[in-house]
Amino acid sequence: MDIQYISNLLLAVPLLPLFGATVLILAPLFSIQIPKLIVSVIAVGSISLAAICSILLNIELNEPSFNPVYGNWIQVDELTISFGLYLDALSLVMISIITGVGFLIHLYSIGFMDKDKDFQRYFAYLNLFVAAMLILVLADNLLLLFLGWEGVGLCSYLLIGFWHEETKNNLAANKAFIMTRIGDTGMAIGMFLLFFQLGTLNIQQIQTSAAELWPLVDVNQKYNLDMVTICCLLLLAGAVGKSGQLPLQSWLPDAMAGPTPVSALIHAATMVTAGVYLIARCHGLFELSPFAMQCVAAVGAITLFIAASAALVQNDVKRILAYSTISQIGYMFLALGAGAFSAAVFHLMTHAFFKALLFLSAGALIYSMHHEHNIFRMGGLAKKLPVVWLCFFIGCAALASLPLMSGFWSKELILGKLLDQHMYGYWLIAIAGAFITAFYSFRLFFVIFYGETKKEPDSQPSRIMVIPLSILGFLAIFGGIQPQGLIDMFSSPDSGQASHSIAIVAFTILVPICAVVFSFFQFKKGVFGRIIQSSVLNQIHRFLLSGWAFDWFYQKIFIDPFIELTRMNKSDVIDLFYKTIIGASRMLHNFLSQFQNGQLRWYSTSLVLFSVISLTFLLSR
Amino acid sequence: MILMNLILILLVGGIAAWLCESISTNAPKWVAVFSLIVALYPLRTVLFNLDAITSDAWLINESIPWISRFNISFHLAIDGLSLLLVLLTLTMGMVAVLAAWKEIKQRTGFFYFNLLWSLAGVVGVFCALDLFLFFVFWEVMLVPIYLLIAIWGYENRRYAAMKFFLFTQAGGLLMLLSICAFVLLHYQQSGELTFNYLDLLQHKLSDQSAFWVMLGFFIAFAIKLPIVPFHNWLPDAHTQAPTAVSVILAAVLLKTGGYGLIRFVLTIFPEASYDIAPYVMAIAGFSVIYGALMAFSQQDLKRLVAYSSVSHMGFVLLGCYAFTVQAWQGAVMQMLAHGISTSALFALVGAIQYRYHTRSLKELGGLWQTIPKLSAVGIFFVIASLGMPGLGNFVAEFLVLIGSFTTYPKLTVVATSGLILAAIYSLVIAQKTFFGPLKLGNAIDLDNREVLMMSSMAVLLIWMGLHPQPLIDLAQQTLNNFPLGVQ
Repeated sequence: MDIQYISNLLLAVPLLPLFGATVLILAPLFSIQIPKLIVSVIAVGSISLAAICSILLNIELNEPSFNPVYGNWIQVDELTISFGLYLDALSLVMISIITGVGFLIHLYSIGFMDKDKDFQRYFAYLNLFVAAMLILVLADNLLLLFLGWEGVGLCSYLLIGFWHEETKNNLAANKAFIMTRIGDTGMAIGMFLLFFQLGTLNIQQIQTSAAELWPLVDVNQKYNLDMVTICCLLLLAGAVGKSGQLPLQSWLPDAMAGPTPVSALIHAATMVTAGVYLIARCHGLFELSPFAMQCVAAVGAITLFIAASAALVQNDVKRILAYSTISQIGYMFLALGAGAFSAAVFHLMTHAFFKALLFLSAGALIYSMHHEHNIFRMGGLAKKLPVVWLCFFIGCAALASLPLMSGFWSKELILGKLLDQHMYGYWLIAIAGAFITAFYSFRLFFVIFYGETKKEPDSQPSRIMVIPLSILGFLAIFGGIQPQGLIDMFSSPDSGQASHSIAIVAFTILVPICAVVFSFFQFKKGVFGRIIQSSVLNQIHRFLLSGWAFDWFYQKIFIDPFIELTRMNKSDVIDLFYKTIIGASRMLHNFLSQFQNGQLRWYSTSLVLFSVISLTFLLSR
Repeated sequence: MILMNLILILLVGGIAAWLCESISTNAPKWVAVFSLIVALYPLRTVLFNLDAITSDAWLINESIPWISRFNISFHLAIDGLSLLLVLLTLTMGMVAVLAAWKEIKQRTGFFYFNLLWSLAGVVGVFCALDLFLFFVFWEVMLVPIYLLIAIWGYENRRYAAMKFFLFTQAGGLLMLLSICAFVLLHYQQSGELTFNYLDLLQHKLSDQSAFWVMLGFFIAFAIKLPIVPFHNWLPDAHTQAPTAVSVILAAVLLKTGGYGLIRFVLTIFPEASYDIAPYVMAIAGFSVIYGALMAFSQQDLKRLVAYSSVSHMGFVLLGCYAFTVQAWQGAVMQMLAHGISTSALFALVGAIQYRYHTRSLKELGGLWQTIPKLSAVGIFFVIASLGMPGLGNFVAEFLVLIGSFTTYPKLTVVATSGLILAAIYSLVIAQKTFFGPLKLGNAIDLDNREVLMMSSMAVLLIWMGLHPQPLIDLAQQTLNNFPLGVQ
């Protein structure tokens, strides 16, 4: 392979969308009007070229890894940070997903955002996002990764608050940015610590020197908070924030305030999976710390259950999907924690397909239903919106991991790996989660498309929206092929696929099917959307609806005291000290100036008094 | 006589601007622009030979006897660090003139006179290598700023100007005492009376006296930086100052504090500085957090940005006293990046105030709907100030923190949480000013002059964020020649 050619090709992947973004951002600043058509050509063109580049890379790359360095960024003493990209099976899968799904969503957005007055700004942000995301997954060192990491966070912020006239959207954007920033700060400290310990920020070097410095002595040293564990947990903080995992998950449902294609691209397919990518990328480090791996698994398991249960009762179609995203990423974390990195990334990939499909079809649905989000104000749409119906069916089936869908293969793989690792407790949670997932996805599906019609759709999705939908639909069904490169990359000698008994396999396959059937009967009985009479159930419903009341809790514990504290000290307590000096000198001035009153008797009295006192003083010595 | 010409151009330009007012009220600003451009001319030999800089201690070093009786000379010199700061001064001086372009309508001649004289003072501070001369320039930059605030400021200008003057003067007094004590101690021991920096640098004071002399310098510079609890002059001065003066204050005046710490305190008294480093680091960390918390609670946009300055300058102090190369480089970068990003924010607030006659966050809102260019630029600088990677501020903060972490890990973790607080107050600016429903009426968007001014600052920040190496190398030149007492 031609090294120069490939390194240019690789560089083009992030730079093309960046170029698109730059043009679209700068033009209005210098009062240049770009017609809508040209905007679409620039935006979609740049990303499709990037997609072509990544396809070519898929063909050309025939080595395990490729690491071109394009220049130096920062070099101070022993700290050297370069603009280096790192291409291996993992980043190849990631850039293929990002450019591929990104391209489809860009295309779809042309139709979806057609009537929006800020068409150009939308695509500028979207292109910038894709560029940042590509830098994130291609970076060969943690600082460049952090550049992409914060870059996607910024674009997410800008796009959640895209319709900025409404304060509600801005608050959601702020919440997303600040909550992820909390995780990012942990991650930054992790970087400092890694540099302090290992003297480098290059990801590959970190992993090799960490393996030398902190060899894994005993696999059973579970609760030892050694240096490598601290490093891993700090990186995990960043991953948790970005991927909407416990305890920093509550920004993601609110992030649905943004345009729906944005939710598909950023808050389902790509950005929120950055945490999974980070851990998979640093797997060499995480494998050195069994305790950190346990934490990853625990975070994943708890999150997947909490989010799935919250998705059960939501009535906003986008919020259901948001909670389901959190829950599915929980599966990925669980897989990571079990050491099944390949399975985690595989699930990331299939999830990108079917969740993007679901969000885009939800977008088409909302578009056709006059911006209606509440599923209980829809119904009976199967015949009226056949395309949307079909897409939803495929998406829900894949999400529920019904047999032979893409989501089925990846989720089965994760469940199997859990059994391999003898993590039975986690396996049970995952199975329970799978049941709930299948249940709520078909609750969503039945409520929207069957039953009586409550509202008529006013339009069908335009053709430019249908094309991406059908491609994604195809991928959501048939995309369940685990990339061979991933298997090779993460396979360790001892991890042969253990065979499980037929009964267990059959059980895992049957669970989602039972859930779908159960869901159907509940729907027939009219359970969904019925007003709850019992007050206990009502309490539980409200608790779940709020996503286990995390927002309330954080408000009481952090936000209210913070606001109260800053409000109390609004006029700066330290200034009081200086104000006191001012006050004291002014008082002294007032006091002393009384004596200069122009009255002769005052002056003579004080003269006499002073003479007497000083004379007495002198004489008494 | 490169540096003397440079300072002379600014001083003469100031007088010319004053005299020109009688011709036209617009003439002074053109004179100011012209003299700032001409001031770059003497530096051409250095600027075009940056690659050749390697080991020499001073890029330019010139000295003429001045008050020979006390062996005081007019000794000016620059190395990498001073060159960076002089360039920052001239660039941001230009920005200040552009920011004042339409805002200042009264007594324009005297305004630009003061502006140029204060810039001359700052350039002098960055170049002076004679302690007495340094003190003179320290005062030269102070008085014009006092006048600028007191005459062209906003509603509460007299109070603010007086407060600014008294704080700085108190620091100046301490510094003068330290200078005198230092020179006299040197005289006692060596029998040679000199104010020359390079001579004094060779001199070792006893631990006790070094501590007190160092403390005098330190407090003077800490007030200027400013560091909690000496920061109270800053919010008032910034809030009441006209936009151009806010720009100068944030961009260059605060930097004289950081410069002084590096050039004098750390270089002359490395041991004494090293001894107090743990306390200073704690104060710096506290400053970062306290400034950010104060910024969050402000309703006046200018006050908010001013407090954010306090928080950002905490990083400079943190970097200076961490005693690692990265942290020190970060401190220099932070001075440059903060100089640009915060000045840009002040210029923006000025632009908003010029249009709406208010800076209150309660009254503003939804500006994007009527002035999108200004708002987009505003978002950019807000993002820069919260430390977005790819922009100068991030490189600076990253270097400071990664450098400090090796020596003071716990304090660094505390200071790092300032990044979260920075995000909070920065987003408050964005949300309450540019987003949300439009509360005030329409206004005219940025004109070409403002777009030019803002975009050049944005380009500088991006350049510093993506290719900081030339700046780092220049600053490294200073560091190589004066190994700051790394123990």
